[in-house]
Amino acid sequence: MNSVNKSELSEKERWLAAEFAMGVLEKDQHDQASMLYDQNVAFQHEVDTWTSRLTPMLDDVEPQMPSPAVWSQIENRLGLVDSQTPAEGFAAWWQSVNLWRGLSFGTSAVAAIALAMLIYGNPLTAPQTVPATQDLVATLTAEGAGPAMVARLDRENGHMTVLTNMQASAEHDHELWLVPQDGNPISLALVEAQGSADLQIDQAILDQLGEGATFAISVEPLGGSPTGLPTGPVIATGQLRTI
Amino acid sequence: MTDARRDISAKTLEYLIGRTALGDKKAFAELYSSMAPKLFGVCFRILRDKQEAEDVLQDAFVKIWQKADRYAQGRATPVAWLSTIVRNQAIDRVRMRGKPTEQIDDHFDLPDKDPTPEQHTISGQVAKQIDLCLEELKQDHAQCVRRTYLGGWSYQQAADELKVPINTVKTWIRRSLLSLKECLGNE
Repeated sequence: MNSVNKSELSEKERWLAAEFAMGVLEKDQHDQASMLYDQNVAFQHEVDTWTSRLTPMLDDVEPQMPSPAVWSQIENRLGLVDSQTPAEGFAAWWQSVNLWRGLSFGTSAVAAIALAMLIYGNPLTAPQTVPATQDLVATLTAEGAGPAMVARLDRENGHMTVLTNMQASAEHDHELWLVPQDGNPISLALVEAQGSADLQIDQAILDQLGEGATFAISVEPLGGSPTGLPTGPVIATGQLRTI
Repeated sequence: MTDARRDISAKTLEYLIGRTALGDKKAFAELYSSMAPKLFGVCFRILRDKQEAEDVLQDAFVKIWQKADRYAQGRATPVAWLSTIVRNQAIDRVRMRGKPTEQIDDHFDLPDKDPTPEQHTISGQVAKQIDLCLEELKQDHAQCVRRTYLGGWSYQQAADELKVPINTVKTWIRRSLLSLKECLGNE
């Protein structure tokens, strides 16, 4: 995605976006627009804006009940029935982390390795300056598991909304960190294992939250890291992306 | 208790989509039960065939589950995002038929009645705004836009249905879109 990021749209592309949102294109052009939508952010935004304008017309459509079979088929196709839920998947992974911790005589060694990889091992792109009005999103994932957290940053208001899906524990808290390219991780907040939270971000930190900025979640003692640096294993990481 | 289906807010939908992105099955089920009737109506209106509309609804919700994490990357409202997935799925299907939609029962050809205040909206207040903006257009242009959008018609289908030359339909729709854009603003 984003291969033709931020390019100005031509007149022709703007019409294509409007007509795609309207749904009037014949198959070939419709498919072409659909492809462009996935590749070009400017085009995507143009289409989304049109879609949001036109959707209210659907209020005129009478709701109708689909047959109950539809939902069962959806559940079957997605394997949602009688299967491991993502939370359980996470729990299994969590247990393997605990095992790992046992083997490494405590938590800090693991954290140090994970963070060292984060800080030095990954060819992170330098956070870039972005216009202050743009929103950014990050999906924090754990290796081998689904997303543990999604975050949306409203830079203008210094406001970040996070949704989390992690294994809850009575013995630990989860701490969210900003991992700068240079220097130590900066604690942003303690986050609930399951739920949503609105975080107010200080200006000093906000200045570092550009495209490519890296977040990490570590497992900490209740109340958060006693040292101000991550002490437990890093269970999920992700980078901010401009939307 | 008021019917939750009627009052589901954009914020709630956004939350449910977010939870769905995290693999929360309950949230996904709630999203389905609150939105399926409306979205099924949208499918049926385009396809005019119950079985096909149900197939499309099914495919669309599979996509919604799979693509929920991409919702936040876009700029559409939650209702717009959901209904776009459904509409595009239905439009793909109808275009694949490769033949014009069958002759439709007469009652389908009746112009849509104006939404009454009691009629619940899926997109909140904006609905009123778009109705006001459509009123500013010439009546046949407004009808053309409304019916083409709801019917999922291509320019050609719209020309056939409305029995006007395709270039006329194109001109009407493009001109109307420009007016709507001006009237509705950017967001």
